[in-house]
Amino acid sequence: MTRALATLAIAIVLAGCAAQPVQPWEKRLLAQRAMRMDGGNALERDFARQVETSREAARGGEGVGGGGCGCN
Amino acid sequence: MQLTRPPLLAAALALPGIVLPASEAGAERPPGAGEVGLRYSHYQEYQPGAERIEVVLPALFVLVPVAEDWTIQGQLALDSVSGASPLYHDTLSGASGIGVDDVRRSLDVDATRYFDRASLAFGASVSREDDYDSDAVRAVATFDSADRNRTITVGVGYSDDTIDSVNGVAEHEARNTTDAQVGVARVLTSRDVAQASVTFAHGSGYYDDPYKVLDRRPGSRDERALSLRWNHAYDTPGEVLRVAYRLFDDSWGITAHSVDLAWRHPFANDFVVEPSLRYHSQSAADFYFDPPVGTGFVPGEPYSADARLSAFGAVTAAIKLEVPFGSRWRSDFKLSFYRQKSAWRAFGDGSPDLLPVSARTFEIGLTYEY
Amino acid sequence: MQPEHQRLAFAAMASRCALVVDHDGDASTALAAAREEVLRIEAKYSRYRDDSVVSAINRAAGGAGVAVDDETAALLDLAAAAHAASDGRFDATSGVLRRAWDFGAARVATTEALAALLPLVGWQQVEWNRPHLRLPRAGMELDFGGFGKEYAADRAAAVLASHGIAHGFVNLGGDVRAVGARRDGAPWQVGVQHPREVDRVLARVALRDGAIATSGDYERYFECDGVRYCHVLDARSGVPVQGVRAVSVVAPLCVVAGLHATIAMLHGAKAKDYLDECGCAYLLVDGDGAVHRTLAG
Repeated sequence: MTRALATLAIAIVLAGCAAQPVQPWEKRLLAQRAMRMDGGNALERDFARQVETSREAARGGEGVGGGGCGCN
Repeated sequence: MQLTRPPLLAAALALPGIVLPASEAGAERPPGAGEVGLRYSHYQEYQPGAERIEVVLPALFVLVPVAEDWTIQGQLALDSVSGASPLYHDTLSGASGIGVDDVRRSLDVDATRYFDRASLAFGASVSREDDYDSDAVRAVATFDSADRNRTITVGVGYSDDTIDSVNGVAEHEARNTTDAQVGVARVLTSRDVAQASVTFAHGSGYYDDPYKVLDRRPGSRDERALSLRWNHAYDTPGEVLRVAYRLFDDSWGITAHSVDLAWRHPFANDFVVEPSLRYHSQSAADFYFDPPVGTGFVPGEPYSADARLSAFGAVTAAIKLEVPFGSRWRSDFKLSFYRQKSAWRAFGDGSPDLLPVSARTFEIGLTYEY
Repeated sequence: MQPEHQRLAFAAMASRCALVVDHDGDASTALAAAREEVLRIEAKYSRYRDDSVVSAINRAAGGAGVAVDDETAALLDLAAAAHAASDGRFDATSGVLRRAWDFGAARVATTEALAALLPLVGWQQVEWNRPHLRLPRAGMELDFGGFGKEYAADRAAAVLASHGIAHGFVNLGGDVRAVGARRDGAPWQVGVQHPREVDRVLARVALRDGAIATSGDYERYFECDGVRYCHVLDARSGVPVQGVRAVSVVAPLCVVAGLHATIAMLHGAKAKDYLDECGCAYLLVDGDGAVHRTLAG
């Protein structure tokens, strides 16, 4: 079931099915720092990831080639 | 003949400097101003019957735009761990009794070249601890569609780690990991952006925990993660809802679901309050065995009693306050609480006989943009 | 306007101009920079200044032509697009017709005077091969009056935004470009002037992003024998348009709003058809004073 959901979710993001493409002048709200996919604060994000990976077995989904550490 | 709106608008959009700078952003942000960030993070963990473990982590972030279309980004962190090493099972008390007092220094540097509708970044990370060294490199490229409503991200990375445990169990053991990521971000509406990405990692080498009496893990690990994000902007500038989900599985038999929710709400004087909630649930590794230690151990077969590989659920609740002062400075304070319990696992039972883990973090950050 | 807003009023391009922002810090640098930008465009494209680009182009009419910079080239491309989109009604070379129409003296142009001038009008004659521009006949004149002020409003808004202004607007003599909504997310309310009663507001239009521009027969006109002659001239006939009192258009950019409003006006009694076809959001007062609108507010 999770696999089907995942496939569906990817399909929605990939599909070219937007009703009306968003024009440059309509992107003011999208350009805010808070709307960035990386959250806008590298230090905050990295610390949260470090706390999570030191206590949990899952990781990934946010970039590549991060240095490992003995905490996991 | 009636040539109507499109040619007029197209000609108007070709005029220089009339689209507001902020509007030129697509799914990913082009290089902006330079930035310096300082952050102090403090982590404290409690477990019944165990000594508390404490981590302090001061970190520095610098982003420098160079020439017209380059940025160099650097990050330096120093974390000091003190207190006992984490003890998960009360029956394990004493078995991993080496007190931890370790310092980790890490440095990340990334250089990014921005093109008209693409970017290319190269980065390296170095991390040094008493017993664990890691060197990593990465390359990430992004490509925007002509209307900048879609961005494709492709990345590859390689990490070369060396383990020399202070108790002499692991002597110059190596672990190498290769990972790759493909992602697509899309502008859905003038206030919604979504991203889907998949990461694959293949690692081989030494995975055991040298500080545990019995810990034999497979010599390789394949991981997959699917992450989905959705960011929504409200009418009020600065008010944003962020939702993220990650599905993870690996060759050790672990499947995990993580959901993140954050709502950023600005108040009158521009200070921002951001409550957030995270839920994580995972199944146990195939070779994880419930306590007491030694149960199920077969010589030559993988075995671990590491609670990190057990089945459990965890919740993080956090609140962040962001206060700008002047037009260039921004400070933030964040408090979060983490709790892990075997009973909180979703889609199945948690591992029995685990003690709950609680942690509290406090962060204070300062950012200067120039 | 609200007391907490910072504003800068000045005169430029023969209009009253106002820059209004809602910003925490001191916005005076941003406001001054935006005004400088308006004045820069005025100086660069004014046909009244000998050192302007437009004067240089016009002096070279009938000669070898001139090479223009990128900004001017983009404006010329826009002039070409507007000429095509209006089927020749809008023409950046129509300024010479003013020699026949004396609005100060309320004098109707004679047929002979128009016949003498019309050969000098016509974008189709212009030799425009970026970056080379040549007006083939001596006496031809180019002017950016049809979109220069609107372009300046767009540029001034971009300057404000580049200084970190997120809430404000630029108003250059009624051509308004917003730089984001009000701080609380509510739109700016722009009053549209009544075409006959100077002190009355005909309607209010909500503006968050984007722009509104108005074209009307009340800006400059005279009446003679019961006929109103306004300053908007059809480049094909050289005669003022009839059948529209005012058009306001909302568009993402002020240049686009302004050109659509002017071209609609040039369609006279067919203005509504043009506006409906171009998909504009508009407010139209026709020749009988009837109001047609697709704009909410």
